[in-house]
Amino acid sequence: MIVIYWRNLTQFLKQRTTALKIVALFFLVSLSIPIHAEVWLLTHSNQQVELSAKQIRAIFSLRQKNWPDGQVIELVVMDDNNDLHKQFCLDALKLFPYQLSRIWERQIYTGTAIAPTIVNSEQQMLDTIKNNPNAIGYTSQEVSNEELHSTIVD
Amino acid sequence: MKNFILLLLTSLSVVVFPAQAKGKLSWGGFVSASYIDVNANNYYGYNSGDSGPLFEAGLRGFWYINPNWSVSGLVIAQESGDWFESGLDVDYLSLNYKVPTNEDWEVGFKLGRFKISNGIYGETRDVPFTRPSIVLPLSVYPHILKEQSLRADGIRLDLDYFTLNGQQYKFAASIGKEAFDESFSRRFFGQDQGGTFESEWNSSLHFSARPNANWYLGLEYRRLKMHLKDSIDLAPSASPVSLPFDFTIDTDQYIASLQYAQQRYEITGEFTMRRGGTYAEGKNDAAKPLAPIFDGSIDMNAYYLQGIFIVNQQWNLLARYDNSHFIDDDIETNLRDLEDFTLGATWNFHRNFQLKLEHHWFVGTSMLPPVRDLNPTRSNNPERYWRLFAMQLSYRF
Repeated sequence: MIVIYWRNLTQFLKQRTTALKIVALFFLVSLSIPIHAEVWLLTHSNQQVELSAKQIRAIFSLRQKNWPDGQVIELVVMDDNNDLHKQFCLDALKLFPYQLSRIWERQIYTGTAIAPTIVNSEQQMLDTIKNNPNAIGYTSQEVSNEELHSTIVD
Repeated sequence: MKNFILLLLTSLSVVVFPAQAKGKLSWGGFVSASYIDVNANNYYGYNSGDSGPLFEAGLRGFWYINPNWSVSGLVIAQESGDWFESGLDVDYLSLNYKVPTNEDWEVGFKLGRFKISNGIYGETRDVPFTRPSIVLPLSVYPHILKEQSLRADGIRLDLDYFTLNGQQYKFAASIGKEAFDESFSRRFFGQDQGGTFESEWNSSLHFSARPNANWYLGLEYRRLKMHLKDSIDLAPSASPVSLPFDFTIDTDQYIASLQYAQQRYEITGEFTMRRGGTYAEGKNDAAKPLAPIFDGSIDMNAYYLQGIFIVNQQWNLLARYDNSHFIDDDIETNLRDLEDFTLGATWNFHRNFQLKLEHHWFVGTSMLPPVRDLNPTRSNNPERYWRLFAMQLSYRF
């Protein structure tokens, strides 16, 4: 009885092998590639400066400290846990979030950088940048109004 | 340091007034409390038993005056056992000048008390949130010799190059004098020894490369020479004849660092090679013939391998093997080597709080104070196999 069941099972699997492989492959691919959402760089409308990828990296790793007009850049970011923050780190900075935190801490505690402001939500990010003409942050969607300016991160 | 503070204030009066109001002051700090329990040997101190509490607090400030000039400082308060001085200390305080360049290059100078680049973790070893474990690997970051490679009073040059693809190359060079307190003499020669080591003008070179997010490579060279003047006297206290000596430590140290990082884990290895020795000069005719007893090689090779598994943003786990080994055969086995097997965990349960736990299994005592007790009647650190458990709660603001 057991032998019959085993034969049936192997025949069934042989017939379905190709289909199973395709399903398994699709499942694996869908697990390993995260959904690629967009990230937008957000500044106050007073600072509508076109920033290169290199400048973005310099600002968010706390190296570039001032805008072209000499004003001090106020960096606004979200917590390490935040998905948008993770995506921004990977896409724009090519760093893992914990590596960015470590770069910040090293710079802050060796006296070479101004600590960023950490916010809890995108709404708080928008409000903080709206109230600070020298701030820069990021958002998950395009924001364009009189007070804010956003550009997509390539 | 007092002279530097006066120089700093004078320089600032020249720099700040034409700078207009574009500056910014950033400040913050940390507080941490640790408990260390050791089952044998004198890791923590010579009077307070085998274990005890440790406290650390720091207040940092960064005054960004304009794109070229800034002032930075960190004051640290520590209570870290009998082998170290307790109280306030200026960790660094420097006037910083950034040379105007293009976005590919950064050139800067620091004048005053600055941090020395020393391996991956050396620059911020006193800041709890920046170290991977409570007790750093003693091979590359020896606890007893901490002041040797922590900071110096002098000048430091930083040269950074950034490519379009995000690669970073860094070169740093410094020359300065390390500040030692009396506890260093006790850590070296035992609890009866007074006097303060004085540093020569020592130099340091650092090169590092980060070709992408995954790899980091660092190379370093440190020249270190220091003296203890007129403080060693081998004669018993009641003796009418004194036997005074000047003592010198003279070393060259090389550190190679390699780190590989992925989203879920990070592997770090550092290797250090120290070459040099100790010698003394007898200050009178009676002492001169005894000077060779202080001569000795302190050549050593040491390394550690460390893996950190990042479970999630709150938790990470650590495993490390650490090995220090003096080359000279004359050194007795227990003082000649040290192995440390470590397992640890870090819990970042809040943005501002962190809890660390770790357990060390040691073989040997070569990195424990005192290095060479001048009192032969005392038996320090007799156990070859010993354990250490540490727990640390830290808060930052």
